[in-house]
This record gives sequence, structure tokens and C-alpha cells, in this order.
Amino acid sequence: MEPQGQIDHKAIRDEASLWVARLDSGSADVEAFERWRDADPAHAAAYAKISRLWSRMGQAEAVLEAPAPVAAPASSRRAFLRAAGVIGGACVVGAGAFATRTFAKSTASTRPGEQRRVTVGPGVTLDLNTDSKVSWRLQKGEPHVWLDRGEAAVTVDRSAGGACVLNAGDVAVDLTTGEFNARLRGGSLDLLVLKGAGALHRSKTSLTPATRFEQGQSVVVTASDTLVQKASLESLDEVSAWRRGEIVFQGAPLGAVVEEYNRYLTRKLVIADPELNRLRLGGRFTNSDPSDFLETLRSSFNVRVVDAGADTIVLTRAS
Amino acid sequence: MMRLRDFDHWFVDHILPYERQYLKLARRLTGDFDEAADLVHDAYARVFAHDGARQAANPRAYVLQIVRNLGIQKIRRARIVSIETVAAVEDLQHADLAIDAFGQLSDREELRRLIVAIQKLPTQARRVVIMRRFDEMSPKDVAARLGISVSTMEKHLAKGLSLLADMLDAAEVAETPLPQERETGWSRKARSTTRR
Repeated sequence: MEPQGQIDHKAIRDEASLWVARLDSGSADVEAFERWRDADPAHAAAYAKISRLWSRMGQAEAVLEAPAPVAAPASSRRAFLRAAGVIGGACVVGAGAFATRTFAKSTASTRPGEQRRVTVGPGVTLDLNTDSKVSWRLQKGEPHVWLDRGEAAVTVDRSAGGACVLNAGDVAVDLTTGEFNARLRGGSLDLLVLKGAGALHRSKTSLTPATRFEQGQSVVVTASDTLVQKASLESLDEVSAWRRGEIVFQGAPLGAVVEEYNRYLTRKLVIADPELNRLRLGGRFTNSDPSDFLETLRSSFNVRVVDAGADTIVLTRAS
Repeated sequence: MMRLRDFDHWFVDHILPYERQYLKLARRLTGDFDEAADLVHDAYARVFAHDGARQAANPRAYVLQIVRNLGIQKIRRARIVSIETVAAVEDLQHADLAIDAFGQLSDREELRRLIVAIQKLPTQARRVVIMRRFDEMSPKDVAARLGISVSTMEKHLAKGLSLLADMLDAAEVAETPLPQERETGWSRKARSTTRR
């Protein structure tokens, strides 16, 4: 065992930080970096730690923009930037109008049960599904869209004059002309290419090379992995059903169906009896009103539907 | 491009999210914030030095075990050990390291702390961090906006990252003194680090 406490962790941390900054700006000598990292496991560990910090910062925006009880939701990010001295008086001379353009991000959101269409810029339209939030801005004329919560269909037509960059969780994809369904699940992005094509252009934490995808493919992107596969007709139907106001499932367990339905409901469905989870259902229902669905559960599956106040509907087994 | 390899991803996803727990354990063993951070970083180096680390069924417990062993070695080597430290070590020998003894910060809370820490950075570092990381300006644009060279910009950014890492580590350890600490107290130096 080598003696402990001999390693100067602070010095190593500073080196790791500098490598992160240099690799980010592209000025790093990559081979020298790899040599440094391989030279000592403490280097590799410090580098991993700082790179996690780096990618966490990329996610912090979601928190800044989230509705806070104290600050108004739309202004929290700007308030933060102001407090941090980036905009307003403390900013660099001559940055005035440009700063506004660069920093301002527009947002739109929907509550449960709502859907909404927004035009992001020339040629780019977003359809927001229930309980979702997006923000966007033009960067060097290119539309950048952030899916902060939920699900949205992105339509990019020829007049967009370039790719739309879609950011979701820890990943970003270029969407060229076409139609896409994007859904955020945790930190990962589920993307369905309904028309057109696109490419994963970067991930804040991974080395994964760009992945191209085309019409009819479903893509699951996490910070470290990308899974591209052909989408079945059924799944295309299921995923795009919301735009027709429908909810579609085929042989899904009741738990999953309820979870899906709850995205649309202010009165949430709760399964009180875990046994019910064994039920597998298929069907096509309207997503704005669960009464047909509940009636089917009652009549065909022997489920008791109990009205439990303004917020909840409880499902149990009928005895 | 962060050039992370599979092992790095594994480390980032399965080891680092529990950093708070390692730091708290190390703090109990060393009674001192700086030493605690060093101990945890020593443990990380061990993880990177051991190719089989990824086979650990419970990566968090695996690191806690390393921290504990290194901490005990350190105590054995030290000439003067306080009674409380000895007691803490005995406690730990019986404690089940697999349990989530010190709780876990929510994702949101962790990000909030990060934002609070960013606000405490020195001006230039703070500007660079926000422009580059929150406003996604290119490194070149950030440098131009601030009227500095890219290389100077990198230095401010690096300084910001190092300070943030430090502040976050310190916040983890300082946050809640353990009940046992309140009763017995550590050295004066240790106690002062638990105050904000």
C-alpha cells in the first residue's frame, strides 16, 4: 500500500478543470490530454468529476426555468442572470441590443389536458402535448428548441432555411426538413421520425459520433447511448395518436395505461389494488375524457371505479 | 468534446451521484473537511486503478468500503487520535455500509446548489461560466465579448470549475452535522468547518 495523503488533489483538480475548458474550446492537444489522463488514476478520476460538473451545468437551466413558488416562472432565469451580473449594467459595453437577442428565450407550456401550437421561427412549428414545456430562440439565424418537459411534435419545413436544433435533457439533435415526435423521459429523449431525416449532432457528455436517422425510425437517445430502430406501424400509431386527441395502446399493462392517461388528466387515476396491474388492455380512447375508458374497465374487466374527490379516481377490483 | 470513455461514463453515472455519502463518511473518519475531500479523491483514484471495479454489484457500497478502509489506515498511522474518532470507527465497523445512511439529494436540489455556488464565483469566472454554459455562446464569442483571449477565457472557466467543485464538496460536508457530532464535538478545527 502506498502512503496516503501524498497526492496533491487540488493541483490535479486544477489541471482537470483546465483540460475541460481547453477541450471545450477546441484548443487542447488531444494526445497530450490522453497522456495526462493515462498517467495517473487520480488524473482520470479528477477529470471525470469535473466533466460531470460541466454536464450538470448544462442541465441546470431546467431548474432555473422551472416554476418557483417565489419568483415568477418566466423571469427566474433572467433574474438569475441579472443577479449573476451577466445582463444589465454589469455587462460589457456595446453588448446592449445583441445581449437581449442572445439571452432572451421564449417559452410556451401546457397544463394537463391542454394542447397548443406555437411557431418558433420561419418554418418551424411546435405542437405541444399535455403538460409540456418548450423554449426556443434563434441563434445565428438557426432555430434552437429546448424540450423542457413532456412531449412535442416538431415540424420543420423548407422555409426554415437550416436545421432546427432540438435540445432535450442531456442531448441535442439536428432536425432537417420533416416531422418529428419528441418526448422527454427522465434525461433521455424518445424521438420518432414521422417524415424527413435528422442527425444526433452532439451529446454534452459523450464521445458518440453523429448518428443519422430517417423516416419511420424510432430513436432513443440518452447521454451515453443511442438506440435507433425501425418503428412498427403500431408504435407509429400509438405515438402520434395524441395529435388526433386519442390515446392508443395495445396489450399494455393497466399500470402503464393509467400512467399514460394521467398525463392528460387533472383528476388522476390511482390503482388501489396491485393485482389489477396484471390486466393487459388494448384500445383507442379519447384523451380528453376518460369516461369511455373507465366504462370499459367497469363493464369488461370487472374493475370498480371509485370517485375519490376532486383530485383522484380510484380503481379497485370489484368483489 | 469531453472524450469520456465507457469507464468514465460508468464512474459518472454510478459513483459520483453518491459523492455526498463518501464525503460525509470521510468527514466522520478524519474530522476535517480538506482531509475528507482528499480521502474521497484517493478512493476515486483506487476505483480508476482497478479495472474490475465495474463488476462491483453495488458501486456505492464499494466506494464507501474503500473510503472506510483508507480512513482507518490513516487513523492507525496517526500518532494522536481523539477518543471520538476511535468511537466513530468502531461504530462504522458495525454499520451496514450498504444502507443509504446519509440520504440522497434530489436532482433538483443538487442543481440548485450548483446555481447558488455559481453566484458566489469571482466576477470574471462567473461571467465566463454563465455565458459559455447557460447562454451557450461559443468560447470565441465569450472571449470577444469580454475582450480577452481564448486562452485567458479558458483559465477563468477552469478556475470557475475548480472553485465550484470545491464549494459543492464543502456544502455536502458542512450541511448537517451528525447528531453524534453535536453531542461530543470533534476538534475545534473540524467544528468550524461545519459552520457556514
